[in-house]
Amino acid sequence: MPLVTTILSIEDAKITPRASREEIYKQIVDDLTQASSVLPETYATANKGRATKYAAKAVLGRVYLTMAGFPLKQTDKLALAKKELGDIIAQEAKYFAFPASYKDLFTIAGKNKSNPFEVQYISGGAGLGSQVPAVQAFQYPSQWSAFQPIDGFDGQPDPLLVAAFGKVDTRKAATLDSGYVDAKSKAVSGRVQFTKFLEKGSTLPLNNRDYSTNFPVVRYADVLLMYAEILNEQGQLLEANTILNRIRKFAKAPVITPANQAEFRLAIENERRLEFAAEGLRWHDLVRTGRAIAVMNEFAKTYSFKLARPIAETDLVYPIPANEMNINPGFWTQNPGYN
Amino acid sequence: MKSTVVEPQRDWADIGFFQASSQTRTLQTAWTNLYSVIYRSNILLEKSTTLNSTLVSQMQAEARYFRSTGLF
Repeated sequence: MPLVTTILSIEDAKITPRASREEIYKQIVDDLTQASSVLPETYATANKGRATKYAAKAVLGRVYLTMAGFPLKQTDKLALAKKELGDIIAQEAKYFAFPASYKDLFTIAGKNKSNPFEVQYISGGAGLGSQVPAVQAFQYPSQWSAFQPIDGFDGQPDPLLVAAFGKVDTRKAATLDSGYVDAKSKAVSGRVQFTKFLEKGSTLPLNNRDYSTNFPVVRYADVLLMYAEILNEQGQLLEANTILNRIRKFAKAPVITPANQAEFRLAIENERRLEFAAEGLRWHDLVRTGRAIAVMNEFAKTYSFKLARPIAETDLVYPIPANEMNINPGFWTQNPGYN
Repeated sequence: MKSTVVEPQRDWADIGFFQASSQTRTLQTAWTNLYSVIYRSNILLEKSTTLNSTLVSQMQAEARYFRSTGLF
């Protein structure tokens, strides 16, 4: 993609070439490094939700971890990620308290209490509300919401994800619902749907794009699990596993003991899937760990999903939109595998 | 030079079924929104240098934070 760091004229924009991955990442790292050195550690109540020093460090940790994986594979970035994430963990007692239970992370009362950065939403019909609950689900009984989800989205949970939670994991009920009866119409629906970001029964929303729960950009659990992932890559399996099980204990899931580095990689892949279900992280996790092609082809096989061809490396990068390419036809090159 | 504006017809299912193309509307929307973040950040960074306020450096750092998430 073109790297733009100044205000461009229309003519200049037409002849701004694509930058390399390395150039884009350099700008990202520069921006976040500068931001993390200037931004305050926290804000007074009126300004809560603005980006803090730890918001910048959390994203920078994720950026470095991504640079260490596919496609750049700059493994020297692991140590840099560890430093940024460690700086956040050192402030846990001060800024990143765990709430009483997992479900409290996604409530109105829990906004801006536990995470380095969240997208801020406010109900009230001013266009500042969230449509996340209405995009992820497909049908609400009247006692949950006065409004139905938005047509045409309907995120359908993978049955294997539903099964993967296990019986005692409290994240399941906080993430998914099935088997509900409408209190008024008595209509029954059993299909599984994501209800993680729906504050059931809240009367604040004025329409189905006006929900008030925030959406996390980087959660504190993500900081911990990224840190554990790095420890494992550096050969510190026991320390890594202590963190992993801290996350599991909080969710009331049984303690696990992966035997070696390779097993721990799969354990953390699974843990992130459960912990961050419906938060938009899994695809990017699979891409950076080099697992996307194998996992998605297996997914297609499991559900006898008809693909035109097996998923390949070109599917890991999206195409440049046609309307952008047409701004100056022939000037930019489309990504491989697309036309 | 004459350019053609494409009306994207398809959407999320393109991505879900690994059939994304340069006409997938969701990708055009994401591109436009992310470059809007970058554009607004650039405006703030360029125009705020002459402002006289104790909040300028904090606001510039916030703009850098958002620009980085637009690029990432």
